[in-house]
Amino acid sequence: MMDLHFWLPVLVLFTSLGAAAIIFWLDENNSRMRSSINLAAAGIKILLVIWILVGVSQGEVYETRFTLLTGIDFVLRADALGVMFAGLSSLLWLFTTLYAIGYLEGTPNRRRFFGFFSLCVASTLGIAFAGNLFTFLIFYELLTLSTYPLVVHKGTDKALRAGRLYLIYTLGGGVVLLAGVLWMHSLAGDLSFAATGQLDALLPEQASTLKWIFLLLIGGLAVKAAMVPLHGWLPEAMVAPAPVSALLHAVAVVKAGAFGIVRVVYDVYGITLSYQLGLLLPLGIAAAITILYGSLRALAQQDIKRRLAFSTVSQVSYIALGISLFGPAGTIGGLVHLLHQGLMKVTLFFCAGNYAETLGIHKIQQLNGAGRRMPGTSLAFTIGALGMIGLPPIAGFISKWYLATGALHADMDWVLLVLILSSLMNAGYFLPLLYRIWFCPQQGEWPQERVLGRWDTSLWLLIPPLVTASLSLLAGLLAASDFSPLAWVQLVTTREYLP
Amino acid sequence: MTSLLLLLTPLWPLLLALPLVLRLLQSEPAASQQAFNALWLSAPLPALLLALYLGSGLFETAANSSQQLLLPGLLLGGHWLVDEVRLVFLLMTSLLWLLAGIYARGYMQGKPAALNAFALLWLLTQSGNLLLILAEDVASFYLGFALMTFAGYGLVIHQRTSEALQAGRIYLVLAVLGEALMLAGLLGTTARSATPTMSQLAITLAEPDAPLWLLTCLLLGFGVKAGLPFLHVWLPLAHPVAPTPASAVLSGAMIKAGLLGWWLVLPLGLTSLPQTGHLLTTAGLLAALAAALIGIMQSRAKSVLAYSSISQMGMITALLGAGLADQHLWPLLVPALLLFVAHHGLNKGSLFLAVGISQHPGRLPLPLLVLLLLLPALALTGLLGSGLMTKWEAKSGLYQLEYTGLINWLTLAAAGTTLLMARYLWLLWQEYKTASQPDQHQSNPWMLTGWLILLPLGLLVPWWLPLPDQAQLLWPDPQNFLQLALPVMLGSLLALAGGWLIGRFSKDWQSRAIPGGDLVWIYLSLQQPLQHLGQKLLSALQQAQQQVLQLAHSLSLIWPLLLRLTDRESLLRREAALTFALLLVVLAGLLLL
Repeated sequence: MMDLHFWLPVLVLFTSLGAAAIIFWLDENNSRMRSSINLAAAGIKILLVIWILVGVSQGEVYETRFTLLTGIDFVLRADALGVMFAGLSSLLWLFTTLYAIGYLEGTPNRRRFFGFFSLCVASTLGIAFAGNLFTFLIFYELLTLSTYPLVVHKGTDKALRAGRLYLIYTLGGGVVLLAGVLWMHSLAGDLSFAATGQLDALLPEQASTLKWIFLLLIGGLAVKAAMVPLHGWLPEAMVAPAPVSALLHAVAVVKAGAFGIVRVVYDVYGITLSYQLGLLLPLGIAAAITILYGSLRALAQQDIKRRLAFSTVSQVSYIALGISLFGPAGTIGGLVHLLHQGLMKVTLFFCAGNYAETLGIHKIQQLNGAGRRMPGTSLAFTIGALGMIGLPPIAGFISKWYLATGALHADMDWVLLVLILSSLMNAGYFLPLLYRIWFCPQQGEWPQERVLGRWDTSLWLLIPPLVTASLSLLAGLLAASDFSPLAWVQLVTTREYLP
Repeated sequence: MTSLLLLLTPLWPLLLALPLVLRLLQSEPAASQQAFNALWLSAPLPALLLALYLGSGLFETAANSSQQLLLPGLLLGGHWLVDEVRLVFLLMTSLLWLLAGIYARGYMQGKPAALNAFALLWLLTQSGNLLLILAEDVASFYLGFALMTFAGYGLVIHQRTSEALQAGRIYLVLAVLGEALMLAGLLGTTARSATPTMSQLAITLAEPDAPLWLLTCLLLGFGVKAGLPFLHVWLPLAHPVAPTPASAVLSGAMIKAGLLGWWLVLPLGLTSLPQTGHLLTTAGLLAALAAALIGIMQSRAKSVLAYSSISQMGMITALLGAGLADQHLWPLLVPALLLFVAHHGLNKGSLFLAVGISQHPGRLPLPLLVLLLLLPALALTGLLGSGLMTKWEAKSGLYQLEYTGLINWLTLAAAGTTLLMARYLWLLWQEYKTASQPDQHQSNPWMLTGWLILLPLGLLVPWWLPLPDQAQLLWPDPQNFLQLALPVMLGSLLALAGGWLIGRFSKDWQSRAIPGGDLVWIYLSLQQPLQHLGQKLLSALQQAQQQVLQLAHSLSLIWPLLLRLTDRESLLRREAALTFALLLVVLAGLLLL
């Protein structure tokens, strides 16, 4: 029992937890040591996740299981779906760490920041590898708590207010989720995440109870997934430093909610049962409303980060939308968007941070002519934005393709209309930015220009968005190859539908 | 060999674009003539070589003359090929890009504005245009189409005047709308098809239970590019403001992309769709005639040419509609349409390039210049060369199945073309007069070269174009020549009469003319009320959200309660030892149980 298969998931978690512990213990001013530890941990973790990835693709099982109380197990298990999320988190953690090191250069409280940053990623990995609802809940709450110091990092009134709102929303959601988990536990015992029809035995007597529990579980998760009308905290949380926003929007918090929804639908209820109970259509409608509402609100924003935030509200619900489409194509579309949206959105936030840090640009009107001053950043931003619109050959196109196919296979043709309308609105709120960046001449001085190196900005800030932009380009361009996110998602989907 | 050329056709322009991107990243000063070097000119060569290689007849391997390239890792599985139809499009497109590129090298000389950007966007647009011709898998096709459309925007607004920016906005709005409709149609049809390939889409749409909305989306989506009436408004706005070589490829090659889209996905020859087909024919004829009427009121040569493009595309659309309505007619129309595509693409290209030549005529002797300007215009009217053959080919197809009504309408449209060409030549003459008085510019050798090669190629299209094997070109016999010249004579008479009447009675008719872009002014007047409505909706939503937020904040009313609790807590703190002792007892009790 004490072999590597048992310890590997824990080990992955401990790379971040250990890093957090050491960072808290290190001196505030020892930034060289701190950065080394951060990067080393990120590197080791990626290697471990790749190891697991290879193993899982060959059918290996990695599981850590302790019994906490009779009937409640603490389970960490690396299945294909979990590894997918873990891979995304560890990859983007590396780039966000690089970025954050450059971004926070010379600012106070970096020890606190990086410590909680590591904790936050540890919780995300815990969510990825959680093997049952109980374990999931622990890490889900841990994530809430470890993100709070990051959101309020600047310590301004505005930041504190946003942080309070964030806590009210997420803890409230957590309570609802807890209620759902407890009810489920009382009904069905300790359920592991598995793509089998483990609740089928409760039918038909408990059908309505199961529906109520579903509502509680999804309702709790929808807060973090920022589904309308529970999305209010997300745009406010924009006051956080750029790397935090990037992490929040691309992998950590929002994705944790979306990932939770995936787990509940596929691995607690099972897609077939969810379909039979008629739970998918309401989920799809809620997702569609969120998509359209988020895009509509994004159109009206004049602040770059706020526009991006509402774009996240809209885009993350593509995942929920894909899940609600019964059939493999919809599943692929939803899951692959979890990865693609992460890559593209992290790029956009890195770039927004670069504009703010280097030129002091926060508003959209100030972007005029930024392409000439910061071509590298602007190129990355362009790739991210075009990908969000869903233009080939960038990753977003692949997501949209599968979502549309899934919708038509599930006989939900109206979803196509939602997708097209949303694409139109995406074009409406991203193209003007690109127009200003590339085609408008600069107007007057930049609000607050700093010269950082001979490139656009310092390389710490420039390389991460360029790499993530290239990755989102490659993920779309080579989607049909064996090493694309799409290929892994297809593997996951096969396992979800053919357990 | 073919595979390599297939791969390089869209890739070579992209590879050449790389150094330009790098230069952009280094933020070097943009105004450098270096961008237009020999390598830059070579961008369409792989495509041209491929087309010549496949079209020359040297290459006959198997029964099917199409060659393909599979790129399994690309997008959702790449599949590129050249068949008989694509061959004509490829040949015409690559020729036009090559010669317009040579022309552009001269045209851009001494122009201060962002040359690096123009050179880069030119390559990107070109790559997209070539890719969409080769693409058999839907994803590659859409990629090519989108790349061409969005990079083309940069070409349209190159001059950055307020007029260009306005035209660019209209172009972009319609392009995005078109892309969205097209995507809906493509995705919707693909989801019902066995494989995501263009030819499979046509088969799916031929099935009797194929939903009508798919067909509608595809017709309208491609229709934006092809200049379908009501969706055409970007054309007359974008052409006059774009740099002349860009107008040439825009009007010659890029609007054919919409036609190619229709050609590939509509169930032409597979089934008869009378209602849709007739609707399309009507729309095409409307475009052909209305564009001629509005076009002659334009006071810029390039605007007239833009309307002429709408009119010509309208004729093609009408023919395509007839083929869609009747599957037996379609095979008869194919050679005529292919001829039409190449004929219009190349001749329209040379007409556009001539606009720049007439502004800087240099040392060309006047009679020669007049002749060279006259020839493509006459070809377009159908009096000679490629135009004559195209018209004859189309007519004989229609005669065989007795489509006399359509023939009459098309004859009328041809008279309209003559009017347009008369107007165009008149405007060129005006420009020539103003330009040649102080001849400040030498005619540029690059511009002249591009134009002078394109001109005969356009005129002689039927004599070199590789048409499908089974298609036999029919040569008109002399008795019919008079009949074919009829619309030209009618148009010329009308033009003369119109010119005389205007000269005689109305000097200020231009103030009452319909401005370029026609319906767009109506669309734009709708913009404000719509925006207003949108804003109202948004603010209502925002208010609703504020209320929800307030509700959330009212939770903070619990605060005083919590504070009171804290007071009580101090009691526990004071008696900490006692508290922990109690806790231990309780826990021990629980464990024992």
